[in-house]
Amino acid sequence: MLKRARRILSILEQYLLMVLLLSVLVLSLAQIILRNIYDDGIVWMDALLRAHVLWLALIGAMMAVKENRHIAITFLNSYMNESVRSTVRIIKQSVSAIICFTVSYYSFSYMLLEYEYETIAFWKIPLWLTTSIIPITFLVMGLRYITHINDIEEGSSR
Amino acid sequence: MTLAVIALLVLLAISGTPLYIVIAAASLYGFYVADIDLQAIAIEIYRIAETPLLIALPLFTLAGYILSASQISHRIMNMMQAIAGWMPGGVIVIAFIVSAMFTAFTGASGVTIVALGALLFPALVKMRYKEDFCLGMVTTSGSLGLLIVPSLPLILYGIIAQQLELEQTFTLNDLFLAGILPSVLMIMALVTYSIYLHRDIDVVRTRFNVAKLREAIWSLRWELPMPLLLVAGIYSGYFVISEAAALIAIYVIVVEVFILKEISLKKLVDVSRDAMLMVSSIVIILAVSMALTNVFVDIELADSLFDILSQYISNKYIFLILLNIFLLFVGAMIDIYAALVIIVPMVLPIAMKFGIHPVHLGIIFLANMQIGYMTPPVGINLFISSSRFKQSIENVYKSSLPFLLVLLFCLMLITFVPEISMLFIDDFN
Repeated sequence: MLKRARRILSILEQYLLMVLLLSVLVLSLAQIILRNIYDDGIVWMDALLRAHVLWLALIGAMMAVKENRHIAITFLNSYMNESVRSTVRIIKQSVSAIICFTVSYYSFSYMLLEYEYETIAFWKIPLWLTTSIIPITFLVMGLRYITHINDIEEGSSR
Repeated sequence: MTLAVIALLVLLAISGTPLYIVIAAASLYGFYVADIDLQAIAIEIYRIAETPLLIALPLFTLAGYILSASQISHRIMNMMQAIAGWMPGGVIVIAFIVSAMFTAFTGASGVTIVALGALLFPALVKMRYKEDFCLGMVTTSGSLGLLIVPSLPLILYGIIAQQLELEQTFTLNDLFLAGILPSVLMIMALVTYSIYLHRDIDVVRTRFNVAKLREAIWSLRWELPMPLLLVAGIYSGYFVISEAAALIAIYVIVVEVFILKEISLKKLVDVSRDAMLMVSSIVIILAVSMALTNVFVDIELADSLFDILSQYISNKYIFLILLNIFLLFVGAMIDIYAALVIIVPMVLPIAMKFGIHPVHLGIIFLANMQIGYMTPPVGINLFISSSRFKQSIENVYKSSLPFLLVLLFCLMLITFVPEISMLFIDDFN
């Protein structure tokens, strides 16, 4: 069950990442063409593109936890023996999980606030919707730090 | 209490906790102490979606990753030999220039060493250049080019500095212009050293062959116009940097995947995914750092640090020397992107109080990071070289040391002669 959920999530995030990237390329090109024809293009297009970057970055960050691609200072690792290293790993992943859950909780309540105020991000898109990726990402990252506590490999990043 | 928290965070950071976690924790604690609602963290992270230039980051990264995955390094190698193989030392000159451009396009991720260096190294050895020299040269070339458009660290420095709302503003173009002469200086110094080293050695030369040259250039007909278009488009102001990035990314995909067919669609997906994960790991640090930077501004950290420092440091030259030592250390220890995001907001306001122009500081900062890549004992490019060329790490240390010294000499010039960086900048006098 858990395994299945993980698999679905993996596929979903991969697709979302590619769709967002493709959409960035297409929209940027469209914007350049429009700018040259109509002088200023579509007003909210830049805001839409910037929102794409936020989503791309956060979904990528989610995936990066799984593959241990996040930037960390790892040069001390080679001086630790195996038992010290695994203890340290448990500590840092627990801390990471706690921080992720905290950020997720507070950004969720921020999102609810924006939902109530009905703030608009750009065009007709509400701000709560563009913000929603923040609590989701940090929740998933927190869960990953817990569930992958034993199988996130060390040292693939710097 | 605060001191204990800081100590704990530093401990977490050096024991390998992801840096974005450490920074997020620091920001949360800062908000908590300042009695600011912790929801502020979400507002700060959302500022990523309000930073106009940021879109250039994923697009240039994508272009760089795709180029690295293609066969371009083979084609470049052929061209270098065809153009300069007949000239004594010619290959060295062109190899430094091309490596710098390759690094500018692909980011200083070690790709230059792994892809281009891997071809360059055996070729140079075969031409009877000293083996130590060749090893040092390819190691050095891995980070040369950090100051040339469209290098990601250069763009990122501009983005971060603009977030700080400094009194003295500058445009990305100023930064790009400022990078030109320092890059030329470094390449010229390295070339001079290389030619001096081989003054008595008769290297193997090939005969100049027009047909071969034509063939080599023809094989690069799609890629060669790219840097020219980019540079012309950006410097003339016709394209803003984000548009240029989009065009380059699309162009590279069309050329490598659909015209030259060196990358399959499946590989394109893998490469794109890889590129985006790399970008994410930078942007998420940038996102949480925006929160931390705000905390710093709230507690007026720069002012108090400046007050403390100015008791001991009487003029800007002593400050610059200490800054260089500090940055070299940072550059050798921490990933360049993390260093930019964390250190720039702290150092830049202080440096400005000492009368250093933000553009000049950016060049100094990046020049230090470039050297940090190859500074023993932990400069990352030393390890990449060691594993790629199957050489002991001591051997890599030894052979890259002369290059390191040459670059340190350049760094001194760049630091103490601001004109090298600022010559083309209008409002500097």
